Amino acid sequence: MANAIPDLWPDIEQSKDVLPVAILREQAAALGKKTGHLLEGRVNTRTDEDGNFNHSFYVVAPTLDNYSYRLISITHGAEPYPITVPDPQIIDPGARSFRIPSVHGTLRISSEKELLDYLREVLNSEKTMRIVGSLLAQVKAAT
Amino acid sequence: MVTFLYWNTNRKSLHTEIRALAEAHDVDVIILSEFAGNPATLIEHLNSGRIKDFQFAPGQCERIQIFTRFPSSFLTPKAEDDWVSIRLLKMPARVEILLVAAHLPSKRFRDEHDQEHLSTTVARTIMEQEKNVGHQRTVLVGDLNMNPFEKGVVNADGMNAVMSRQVASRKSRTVMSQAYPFFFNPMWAHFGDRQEGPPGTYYYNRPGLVNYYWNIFDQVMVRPELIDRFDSERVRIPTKIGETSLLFGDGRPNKRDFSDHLPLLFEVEL
Repeated sequence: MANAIPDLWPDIEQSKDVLPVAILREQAAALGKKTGHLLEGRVNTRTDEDGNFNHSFYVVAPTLDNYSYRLISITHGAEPYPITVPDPQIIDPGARSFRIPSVHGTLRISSEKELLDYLREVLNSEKTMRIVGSLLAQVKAAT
Repeated sequence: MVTFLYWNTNRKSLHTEIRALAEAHDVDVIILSEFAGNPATLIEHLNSGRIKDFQFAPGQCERIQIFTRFPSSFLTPKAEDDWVSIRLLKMPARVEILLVAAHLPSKRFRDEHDQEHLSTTVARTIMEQEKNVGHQRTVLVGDLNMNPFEKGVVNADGMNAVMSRQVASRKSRTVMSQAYPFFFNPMWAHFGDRQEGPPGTYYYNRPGLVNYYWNIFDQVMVRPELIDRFDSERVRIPTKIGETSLLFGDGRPNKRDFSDHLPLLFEVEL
């Protein structure tokens, strides 16, 4: 009788890292709370043919027939970092930022802290405020 | 018949030229990118001429401005981002369509992988919206900053846009068990000298071994469901407005006075 083939795996533990998608989902939930659920955040995830995870964050206006604005998209491989941001938000030309290029270009994020910094900057940008404010006004005008 | 005009105005206002084009071709929908003018001023120009009743149809995508010769409420934004505005065009007693207006990133700032990635994102958003509205009567128009033969336009998981009406009529292509709907891209027929119009919409004499000189970055494409309502013979790249040429004497677009891109006209039977 042949010898049993051994299980070569060690004990497997789930990673304790906070996943980028969890951080995005948290921001999505926070948008709903902040706007009395007149606007909602939505995060869609897909995998591409190279095995990368692509997460997109949308601002959604449920009462405007689910109008959506894609605010942020990030991509990472099997490991959560590094992240690439293929189309970082076009920040207002006057805005000063060390994180976000004022001209277009792919952005690379290496850690959870950098991701939080990036999201903070995008979510607080004049442009995001203008989009969210305009959608909120339209939602209220339509109700 | 609804007539559409698309023009990347090269960070200029070109109010007079846009109005003249709209009048000359009886345009119903004007879609602009890199428009540096003021929408209100353009409305004044448009409505002071032979044709009137133009309205601004606002959206959140700052790279795209749309004006309609019918109530702008007929053109509802459905999904947008920094590069694309997807609107539902629903006019009384007419067939409704999805209008996708795009101004994708320039090659000066992005490589082809970035462009392909964004094409995939745009394609997925279009499919989502088509699912939401329950049809695939979709027109995509804009400055894609890619030629019709580039991967972001051709890839199945990108625009999946093909040059042949007959191929597009097969409706979709399945790759690795995933079906991707076609677009029919009539712009292929506008390359080179063997047709009436200019050899492309955008001229760029780039350094390096590969140089096409003429490119067709400005494109219109339709889903198979709209093919019978779309006459590709009526896709035009005008080079004149009245007696005024939009070209330099050597045939390149006159970017000094007008735009480095030529306008695009097309019609859809709704």
